[in-house]
Amino acid sequence: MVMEKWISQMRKGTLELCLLLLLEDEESYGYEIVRKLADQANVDAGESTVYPILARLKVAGYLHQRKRPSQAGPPRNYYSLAERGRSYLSELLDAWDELERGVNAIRAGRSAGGRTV
Amino acid sequence: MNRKIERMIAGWLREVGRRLDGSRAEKRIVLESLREQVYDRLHERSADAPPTVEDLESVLQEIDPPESFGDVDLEIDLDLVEKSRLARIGGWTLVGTAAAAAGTVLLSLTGLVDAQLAVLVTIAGAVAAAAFGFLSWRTSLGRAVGIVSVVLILGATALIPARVERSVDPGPEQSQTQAHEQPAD
Repeated sequence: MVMEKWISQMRKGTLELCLLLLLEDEESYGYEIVRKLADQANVDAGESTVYPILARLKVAGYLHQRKRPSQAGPPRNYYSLAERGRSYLSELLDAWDELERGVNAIRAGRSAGGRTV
Repeated sequence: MNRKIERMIAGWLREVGRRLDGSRAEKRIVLESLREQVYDRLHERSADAPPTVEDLESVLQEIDPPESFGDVDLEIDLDLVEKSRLARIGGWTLVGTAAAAAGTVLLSLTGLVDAQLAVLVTIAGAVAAAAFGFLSWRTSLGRAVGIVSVVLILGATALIPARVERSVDPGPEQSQTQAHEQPAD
């Protein structure tokens, strides 16, 4: 259970990065983003987590928004990355790469140490 | 879709709205997203027939409950993002932008250097301010300093031709003054 909780927290911590990545190449709307996060990123995050983040990113100018008609009911708001969002995503990916390198370096060091013993 | 279902959706969204934190714009985006999702799910469940109250209740049960919208602990401190960027580019870039602009204006207009040299100083200052401004452009403070610098440099540049003209041709008033001052020497 502790491991599951830790994995869940780690996934939530990277939610913002995953959300921006989903919008990097194509626009999407709220419900679709929630589904994609669950299907593609296996992120355990519901609407109460995803939508506030989406809203903050939009209000901060990281996302573009446009309305398109929907057969299901009211027009849908589609979101895509603004230039500022691309720049922010680039910074997050740099941080992600740095973190990954750090973890891999420790693992490699441990493996090398293990071999010499 | 019948009025009762629409009223139920509106009531549910009001419940969520009461618990939401954030600005009005943020709340509007969250509530619109939820509203779209409710309609989408209802459409998925009963595309061929009007949705029933049971359909709606079932859909709402599949979405995070209203009370969960009040305890979101994943707030992004975008001010911190801005501050971290500023820390990364360093305050020196802002100081550099302002210093280049101020120095340019001072040297161009105060007569500390001659008019021809003032042109070179202005160009050098503009290049320096542009370089520093470019580095700090991604922060709001950097943009503000950059814009003020550009305005100052443009103002100084606009006044240089008058100085060049005066230095080439002193003009009748200055000639008279010089002529008037000569006997005193």
